[in-house]
Amino acid sequence: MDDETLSDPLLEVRQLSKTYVRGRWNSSGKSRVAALENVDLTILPGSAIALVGKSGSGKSTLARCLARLEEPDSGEVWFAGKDLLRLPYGELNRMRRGIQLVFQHSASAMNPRLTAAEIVAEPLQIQNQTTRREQRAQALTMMEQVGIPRGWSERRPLEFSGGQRQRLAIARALVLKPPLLILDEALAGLDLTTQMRIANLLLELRDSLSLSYLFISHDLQMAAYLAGTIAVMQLGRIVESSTARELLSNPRHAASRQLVGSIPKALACSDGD
Amino acid sequence: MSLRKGAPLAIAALLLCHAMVLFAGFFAPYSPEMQYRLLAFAPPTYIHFVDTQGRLHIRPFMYRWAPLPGSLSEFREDRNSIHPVHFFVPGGEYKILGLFASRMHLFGTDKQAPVFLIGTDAYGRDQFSRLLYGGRISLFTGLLAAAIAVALGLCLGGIAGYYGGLVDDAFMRGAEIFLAMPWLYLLLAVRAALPLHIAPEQAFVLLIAVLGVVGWARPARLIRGVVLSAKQREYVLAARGFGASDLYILRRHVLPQAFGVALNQAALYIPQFILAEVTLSFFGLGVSEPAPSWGNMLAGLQRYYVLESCWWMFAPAVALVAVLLAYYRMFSCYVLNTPRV
Repeated sequence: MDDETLSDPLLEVRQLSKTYVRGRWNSSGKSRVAALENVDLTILPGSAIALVGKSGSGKSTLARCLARLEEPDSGEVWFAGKDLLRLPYGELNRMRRGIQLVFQHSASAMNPRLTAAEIVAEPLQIQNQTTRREQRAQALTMMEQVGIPRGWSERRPLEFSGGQRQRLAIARALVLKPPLLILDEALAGLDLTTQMRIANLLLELRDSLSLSYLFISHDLQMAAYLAGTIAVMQLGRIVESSTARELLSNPRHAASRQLVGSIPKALACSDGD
Repeated sequence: MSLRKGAPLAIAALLLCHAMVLFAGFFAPYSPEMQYRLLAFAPPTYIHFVDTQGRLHIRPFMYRWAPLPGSLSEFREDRNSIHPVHFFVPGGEYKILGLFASRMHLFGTDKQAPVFLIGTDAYGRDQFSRLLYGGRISLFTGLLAAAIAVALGLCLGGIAGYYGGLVDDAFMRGAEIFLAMPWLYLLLAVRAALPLHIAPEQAFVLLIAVLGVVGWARPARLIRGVVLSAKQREYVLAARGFGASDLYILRRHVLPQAFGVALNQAALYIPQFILAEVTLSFFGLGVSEPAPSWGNMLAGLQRYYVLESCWWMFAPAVALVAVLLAYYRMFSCYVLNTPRV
């Protein structure tokens, strides 16, 4: 893995915090949930980092804050030399191209009325790049790259299987050629064979497109397969961050030990070298 | 599949109906105000092909109505002379769509023997001509008022659902006020505030405005719900991640779903508002004489004599039922039952 190469970080998160406030605009008792507390995270160009943790530990919130789908309360997100949290609206929308997110539920992440080609071309359309014809051509090329035949471009998302749809989602996320791809539980809910195929696709794409990944999962083994570094989250904090091998063999924090301990034993043995 | 049966027929009938109403000047033989004072409550004219000598005529003809001796309201056919029905004849001047003057009528007879396809009313006015001219007001009140109500509902409901929070609360409380408002009495109040006699055009606009403005609340609530659920979909979030603006998201992902609901609402509102106009005009609150509307034509039936002996005066009611049925048929085939993925 090239995690150790000395270069400027692609993404640097400093002291990121986000608190959810529940309740309507006029309700008196509002409940507060701290989803992220002073999170620090660095992603180097061409590297892959996995973020693991139990449900509700803040993984998805972090992903959404990085893609600026949620507004963090405080902190800094440095990407390509700019603090994303302090950019004017117009520039932010251009910078967004650089960080793309793949959602867990591919079925609900795609408008069921649109065709596959329209879905993959949508980011290009929104960023208003080139002509319609060129947008479509780029979308079709990207679909082929993730293994969806050209002949399927007019199908609607619900006509695809879960695995094919997730490939489509990856194509859509990559069509703007972002340096960083965030996969938010993107393999969850797929069968093991399909998970493996898509994981290998991701590794191929990483090499061919020199991508960086932030891979969010609760599957520690898949995380270890895809990423060199694994960060463990608990209650909105990153409690441990180390190489995949070290985390699996020698987890230090209680949360990490719990995660490693919950890997089914038969698999843990075969994987433990 | 069987639900779609009859839909093309309903659409064809509606298109024909609206075309005839829009081009009433051409399809109607007379102006709606033209009176044949000696022919009040004349029954529909019989169209003949065979004369008293048993000869067959290729061109249809009619006999003139002549009052029975000593009566003003009972007629028999005067068989002394035949009056052929001509097509594409010049007659009284009218304006096509209010723009171009024309004298061409689809059919007509000579001046001594006016043709009344569905009889005449108390003033000897041709019911068929009045039915066509009156349809303009009745049918287009429904269409325009439904369009206003649904367009308002789409805008206000869309904004409330999309922006949520304070805006949503304010709009929806407003909608509740309108839902609670008894529109008949509101119309009475608005009508009372205006002078006793208002021009038919003003009455038409007033009807559309009141029905349309009061009707926005129900579609708004439904559309708000759709928008509320649509904006929380992950594909909306995804589009935002690609840098999409509010306008793009509304246009591409949110409103297309709301259109289905809006169409449904329009489908229910158009016949309902047509009926509302007819009801109001029946009670003299809508368009007033001498301008015809289906409602004020039916108002003639309030007299017992007419109700009992002039069956042709029910013609607007028959037309109304036919139009409403066609509307419901069309919508239940093409809007209500179409699965919208």
